[in-house]
Amino acid sequence: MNLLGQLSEILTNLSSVKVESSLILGAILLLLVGLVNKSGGLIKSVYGLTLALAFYLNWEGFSIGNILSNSLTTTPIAQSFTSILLLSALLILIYTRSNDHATEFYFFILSILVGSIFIMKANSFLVAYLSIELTSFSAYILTNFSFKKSGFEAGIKYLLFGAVSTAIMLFGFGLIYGSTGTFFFSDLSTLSGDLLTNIGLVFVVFGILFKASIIPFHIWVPSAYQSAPNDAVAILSIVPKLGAFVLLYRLVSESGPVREMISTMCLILGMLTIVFGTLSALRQTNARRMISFGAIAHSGFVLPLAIMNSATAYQAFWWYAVVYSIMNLAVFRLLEEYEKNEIFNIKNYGGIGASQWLLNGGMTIILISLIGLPPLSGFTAKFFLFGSLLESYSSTDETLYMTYLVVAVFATVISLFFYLKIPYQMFLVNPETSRTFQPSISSKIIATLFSIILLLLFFVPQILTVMQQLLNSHLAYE
Amino acid sequence: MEYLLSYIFLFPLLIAAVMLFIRSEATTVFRRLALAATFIQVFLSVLLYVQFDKSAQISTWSGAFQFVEKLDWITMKLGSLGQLNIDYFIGVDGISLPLVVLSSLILMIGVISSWKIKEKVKGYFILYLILSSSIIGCFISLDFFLFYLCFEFMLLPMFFLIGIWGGKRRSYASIKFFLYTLLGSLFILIVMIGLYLSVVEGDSNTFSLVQMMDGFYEEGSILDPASRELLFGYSARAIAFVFLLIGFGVKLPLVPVHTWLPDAHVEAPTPISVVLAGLLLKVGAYGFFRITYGIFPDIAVEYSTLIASLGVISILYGGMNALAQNDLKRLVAYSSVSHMGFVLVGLAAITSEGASGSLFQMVSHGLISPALFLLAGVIYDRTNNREIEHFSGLASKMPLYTFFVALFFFAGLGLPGLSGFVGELIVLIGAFKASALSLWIGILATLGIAISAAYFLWTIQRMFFGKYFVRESAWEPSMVDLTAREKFMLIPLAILVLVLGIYPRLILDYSEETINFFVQHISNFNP
Repeated sequence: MNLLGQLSEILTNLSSVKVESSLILGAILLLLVGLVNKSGGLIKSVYGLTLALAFYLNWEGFSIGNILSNSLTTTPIAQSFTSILLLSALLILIYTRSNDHATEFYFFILSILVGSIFIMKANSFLVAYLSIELTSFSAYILTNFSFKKSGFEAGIKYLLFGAVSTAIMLFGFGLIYGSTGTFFFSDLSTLSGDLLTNIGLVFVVFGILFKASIIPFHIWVPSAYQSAPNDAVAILSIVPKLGAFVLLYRLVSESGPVREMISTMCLILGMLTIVFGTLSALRQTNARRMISFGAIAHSGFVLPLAIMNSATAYQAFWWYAVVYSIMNLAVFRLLEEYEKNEIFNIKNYGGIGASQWLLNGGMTIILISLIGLPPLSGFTAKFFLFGSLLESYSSTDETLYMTYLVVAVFATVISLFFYLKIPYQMFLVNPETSRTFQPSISSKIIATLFSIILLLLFFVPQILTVMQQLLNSHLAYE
Repeated sequence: MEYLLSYIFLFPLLIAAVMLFIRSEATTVFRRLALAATFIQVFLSVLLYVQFDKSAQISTWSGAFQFVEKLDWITMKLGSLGQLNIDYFIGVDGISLPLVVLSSLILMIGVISSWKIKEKVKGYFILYLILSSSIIGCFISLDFFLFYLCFEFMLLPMFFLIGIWGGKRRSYASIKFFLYTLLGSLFILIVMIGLYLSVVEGDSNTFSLVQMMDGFYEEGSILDPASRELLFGYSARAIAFVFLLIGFGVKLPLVPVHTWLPDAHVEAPTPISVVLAGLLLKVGAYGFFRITYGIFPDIAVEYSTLIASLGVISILYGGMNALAQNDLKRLVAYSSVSHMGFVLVGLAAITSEGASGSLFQMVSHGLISPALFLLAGVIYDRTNNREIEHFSGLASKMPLYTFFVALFFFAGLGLPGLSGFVGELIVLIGAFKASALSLWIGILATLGIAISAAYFLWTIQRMFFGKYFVRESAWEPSMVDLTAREKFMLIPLAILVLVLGIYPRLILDYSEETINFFVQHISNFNP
């Protein structure tokens, strides 16, 4: 074995993991800076610069294919989704955060990012497992970052569920390895589909679905989202989730004869997720908890796009992911503003609409986009989803797609009912006690900006597809 | 005027955008701006009406439309769907032209009627103008996506207009309205996507309603009539038809999905009731014309008995309910359900008479029901009460009011010489002539007219004749006759109802060519 040759191969391959490397170096730098200087501004700028650099490196592109002894696979979808993750992470700087523990906070965000990007690129089971654990452990800590008792409880809950699911996943990897001797996702297409490997594969999918908060692995979500700080929630609801969906996308597209079984299972679980998410959201009284259940339902909407494996679904997947991230970033940012003014429960929103129409109008627009009504990009995302489902149905004659469509449509109607509760309270209900409510200028600007973006993307949906092509155009195919 | 239609469509939206930048304290400015916007809209639509070439021969749907404007709007590559093409594609034919003119008129009357709105004037008029644009947009869109956008976008302004400025149970009514119509429109959305996947223009899929009506289907696609695709064991086209029936049926409204309507009408402020009854219901009916019947003629022929029966049930059930109401506004709301049933019966007949009558009935009801809601608003403004039992003998105290109520009630029950008579008469002729429909349909629909006579006449007798009486003595001083503003709203409607009753050709001449082609297009599918 030529050691020198191997070394040079590793060195050339390193350029394909430059995004992750820059993030890790940035995280280390962040820790060092945090030791010397505790000022939030400096830490935020180091964090921001790291992400900007990583975004640039990702933009610059890398070569596509299996690298580092097949342990990683670089794909176009990983590159385009990495840019969503990086931008979302950059955008949490619009949240307000005090200087206390800023170093640790941003450090863990960076490590979640690294983990999630590796999830999308993992080819070896071991890398997939390790990167999922990396995101999970950072996420457990972030859940508890509000330093409240409820946060601790949610963190423990999350930890327990996470430990069990990753253990199941590890078991699945073991079963596949034991029965076939393969350790790579790229070999899945050669699997014969005997019982043992099938069980192993199902277990692996369970682990992925846990990160994507699909039923029945969603139980940690509401309490974690409710007690974590808002910027952490935004990250938790976007970064690991999209990472997991991309891994699922790759797993399904590479899984050959067992694809049918996996996709049937995922579709059924996805439908349950939509139904459960919307129905549970109906009963919530706390605004953030309600939106968390809404986010669970949204996972159910994204899921079929990741597994349908058609060119339409691929683009719809990208579209939905971007719009979902924008909406979540915006909604949790605005919730932060309301919570700062002691508005936690839906009832507290009563009658505040008239005075601050810029903020409340923006919130209304974002919520309506979450429902998926025109003329907002949330509608376009759902429109593409419905289109892909119908198309898949007519090309495969698999009634499950049609059933999914019907479930999704009814869930949309029901989601109107709960998302609308907030605007309803704001504008339609007269307050019991008049409250003074002074939102910050920045919140108003953010509300307006995000509303404009959501409107714009409806009228000019080309922007996103062009952006994806632009991103992928820098990739080098071998 | 090259872009006449676009001006009519987008002008209110422009004014709404201007309003955003005006201080909210300047209440009169908003009223005047809105009035000016809608007045210009009326002027432009009269211009449209005059310039419309009513004698143009029609041989395909693609040649049926005038004032056509077509611009690329969204063009994007979307996987194996190929190119996603959405056009800004608008135009009018003999079916949509009368409705566009009607809309701009009713919208202007709505603004005048909104003069009394005192709270949050800025928000009110901005929402009102957005609503105006989307209503007009529905009638002129020739691209399904654009149509759907306008169709859906009526919901939000309406939700807030009812929910913020409405009566006591406004929040309940507005949510109920929103849920019902959203459910309906999602059914339409599914059909829209199905049609997009099935209909082609050249070699790419299209949203163009014209291509859909002319039937350019991709071979073997899901909604291609020739491929007879099955869905859960039923014909895909039949399912799509039923979806549309539900979607537009909610808007129309069709019994049994009508229950949002009485609540929404009763709780909405008067101007919004006017727009709701006058125009929103017409959007549902127009959807039946343009999409349900226009695109699915084969299924429409097959299901004509079902459609006609649903129409008759609406006529009778709505009428019976109206008979039982104590609240004047609720009575008018149920009479709307009843009268819109005629539109369906006329359509289901698939004869030129039936379809013309249907269209005429839409216009006529679009003039009568706003007037009735305005009249119910008159009494409510004065007393905050609309219970029929609380008033009696008003004729002696408010003669002019009584005159208008009588006029529009008679128009509603179909007195010859007024527009309601013409619409119902032609519909019934069409229904009796139709070979596909049983005689019972016509007979029962006629019975519906008798019922409407009963509740209208009974109401006149209870409220206006006899000894003068109002329930609370506090109302006494406010029981004055119509004010100048109220007359200003009612007189144009009254004139139009009279003129159309005597000279219906004002509508029928314009729609004749289109309707004939429409009916011929459908009857091609007669077994």
